[in-house]
Amino acid sequence: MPETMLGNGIRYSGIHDPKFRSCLLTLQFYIPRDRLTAPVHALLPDLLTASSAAFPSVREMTLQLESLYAADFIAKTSLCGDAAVLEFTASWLDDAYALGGESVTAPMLELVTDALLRPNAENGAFCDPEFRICKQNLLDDIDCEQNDKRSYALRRAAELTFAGEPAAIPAHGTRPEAERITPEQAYQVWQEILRTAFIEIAAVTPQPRPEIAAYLKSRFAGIPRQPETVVFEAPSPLHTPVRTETECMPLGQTKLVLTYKYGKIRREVLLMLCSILGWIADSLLFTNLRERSGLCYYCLLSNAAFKHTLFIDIGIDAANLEAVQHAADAQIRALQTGGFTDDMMQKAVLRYGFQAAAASDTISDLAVQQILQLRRGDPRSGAEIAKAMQKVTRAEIAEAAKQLRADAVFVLRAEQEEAEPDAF
Amino acid sequence: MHSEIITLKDAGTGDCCFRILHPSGLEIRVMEMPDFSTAYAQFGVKFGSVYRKFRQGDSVTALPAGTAHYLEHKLFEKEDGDVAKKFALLGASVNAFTDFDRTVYYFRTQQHYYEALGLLLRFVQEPYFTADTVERERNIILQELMEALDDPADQGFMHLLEGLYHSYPLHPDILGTAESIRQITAETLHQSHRAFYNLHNMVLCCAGNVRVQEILGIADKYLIPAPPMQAEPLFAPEPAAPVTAYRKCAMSVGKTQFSIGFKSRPAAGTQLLHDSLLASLTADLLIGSAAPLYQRLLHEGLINDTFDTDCFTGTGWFTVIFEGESDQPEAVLQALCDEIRRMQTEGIDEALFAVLKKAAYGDSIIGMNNPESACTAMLDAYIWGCGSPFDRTAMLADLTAADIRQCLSERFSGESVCLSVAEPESTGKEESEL
Repeated sequence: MPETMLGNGIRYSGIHDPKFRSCLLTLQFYIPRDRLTAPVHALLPDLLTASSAAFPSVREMTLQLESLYAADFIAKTSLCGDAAVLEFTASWLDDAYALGGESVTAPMLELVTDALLRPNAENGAFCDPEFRICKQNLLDDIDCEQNDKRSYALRRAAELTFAGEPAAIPAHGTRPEAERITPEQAYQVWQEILRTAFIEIAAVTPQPRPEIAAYLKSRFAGIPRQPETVVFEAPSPLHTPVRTETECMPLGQTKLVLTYKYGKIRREVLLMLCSILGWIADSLLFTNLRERSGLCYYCLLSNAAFKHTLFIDIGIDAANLEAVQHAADAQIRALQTGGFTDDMMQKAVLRYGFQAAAASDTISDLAVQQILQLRRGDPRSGAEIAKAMQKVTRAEIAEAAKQLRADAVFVLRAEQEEAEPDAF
Repeated sequence: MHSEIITLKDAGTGDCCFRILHPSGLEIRVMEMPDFSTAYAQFGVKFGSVYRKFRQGDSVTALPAGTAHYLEHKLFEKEDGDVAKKFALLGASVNAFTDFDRTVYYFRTQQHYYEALGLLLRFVQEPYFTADTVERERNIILQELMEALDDPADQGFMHLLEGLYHSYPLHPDILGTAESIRQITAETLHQSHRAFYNLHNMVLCCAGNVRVQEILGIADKYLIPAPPMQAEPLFAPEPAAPVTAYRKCAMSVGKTQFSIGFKSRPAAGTQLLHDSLLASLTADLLIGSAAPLYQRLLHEGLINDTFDTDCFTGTGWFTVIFEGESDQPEAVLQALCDEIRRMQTEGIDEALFAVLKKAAYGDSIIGMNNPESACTAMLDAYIWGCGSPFDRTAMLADLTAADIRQCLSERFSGESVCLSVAEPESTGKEESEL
């Protein structure tokens, strides 16, 4: 993929693929996390996409996007290791499909860069009422974070397993911290990010469009850039003994989250390990916790790669808590002793190969794949990694699994477990 | 076998869809997209959670709620284990879902597409249930139900449907209830499979890096010709008015959630597509994020960015939904009803209408630009009784302000509205209907 630097700490990748009918531009700002700025980081995506100096209200911004054939401009803050990524993504219909032959790309580039560089702000502060509305949205999000019980349990488990590390700071921050955000503070934080964040940009278009890079370069040229280095890789130290926490809530299904930490494992080996443990159709966890014993409806494995931590989250009947924990530990032991089949190893490779191919069929996945490759510092393509996975041996997987150490157990316990589901 | 092939084209994009009436009785729809590296297939059946009663010959059979979903789970299990493992060995990822009016089995893969397609056709046509295997699944489905019951979004939606529909079986949940799930037996599943999984009642949609002739080869090999469809789904007459105008309950939510539903007469075929497109545009004109009312309610703090509109339709129901979070849902409903009346009297904002049509055109063009969404568009068209997945773009161009006015009077009547409110549990436990 052709990458170029558009400025100090501003890297751009231009990808073209004629099978797409739309264009996509993503700009990612890499920033460190701390408790004070976390709620501002959570607020900025909404604030900067809702309006701008050019389109100073949600309505005007939406009208412009709709008139550009339902163009999209969204943003989010995601956590990545001990850092955060402020991600702005715009997508729009390629000019070739515009009904009147007009350009859609030019006004979209202007809309996006205006939103970031000429936000809806005056005298060093974001303007009301848009600031007030976005802040209220953030407070409502914080109030409603328990609505999705599974995400809530995962967040609480992250707080437990990463306690004392930046990764433990909730994505939204806390309500009191969010309440204290002022329009001036938010504006200052954003100006600081523009000045100091490393900016990774990717554009995917049906045809080569060098004008995108040129335009972005000219727009960012006016910023006095002093980028700071953000390190994503931040292995989390192991807690001994295992940390355990239980929270009760009036719900029907108990949520159990188990975390396991590991040291250094080669990426292709880790991918094989995770696939066999939880990602393939007949993974150890799915087969043994759900299919054979019917202990749960879902049992999912996720990997916080930069933190060297695995999360297993399970929805269960509280009566099965102990049995499920033992069963999950037993699957880790099975991995450590080579208790998996050649078929499972083959399926792991096929699954990854398919996912890599599938990513090239979706415009957003294509951009994400390129950016993740750069962020990980692993220049290999998906196909090359699949090839490397093929060479991983059973012994390597077992050896890697021996690094897995239980670290934390979080239980979101159903208070009304004895109730019939109908009685909700 | 000889198949009749109809070629459908989208004049705007040049997209081409083959519609095949296979001698087995199955309709097959294919979009060849050779530039893509993956391919997708959906095998769908017109049998979802609303199919609760059917007539076959002289006998009428009632099914427990959740039967379609239970059947979907159990079709994956065969005498030699879970069929998903066989797909995985081909590098394909298989899954299924049950909706109100359909059950769909699908896979996506980069390689061994035709082998996986053969596997899909066989496993859906050939059930293997025993009392033991059906029993073993029960606890898993009950756990799934527990998870759904803990989801305020799911429950809020069900609460609204209970307020809107008297007899049309949009409730209870697609999964059923704990009681109905316990009533489902291997025989219930066999009976349902025999009645509804008839190729005349099903569709196969394929899109991506595929060739129509090779698909037909697989179809010829694995499709078992079906007798004419005999099961006739039965639905009790549904009154035009909602059950209640207002419902309130307490849920484990952080902020009061509301859903407003405008119920109207159902439509079918291309009329359903036309009306749903029109109703979506009308809802956006009223209170979409580009509408003045949205801006006003946002500024007044009556709604937040969770506010959304949706046209929830199928062959037997039609409801336009407005939902979100608000401390004053009654005020949101009042403002919406006032805006409907104002628009009926003063007319619509023609400039905004033109912008929204342009936006819908953009959505249509991009919407068919990957195998998965192309497959879904073809399947939706079949389930709704539309011949072509490309009808939407042409219909859109023809919509007028007069159509919007008619839609406002027919589909946004103050007589047919229900407001469903879910308050945080601490503010009140009792459920009420006013």
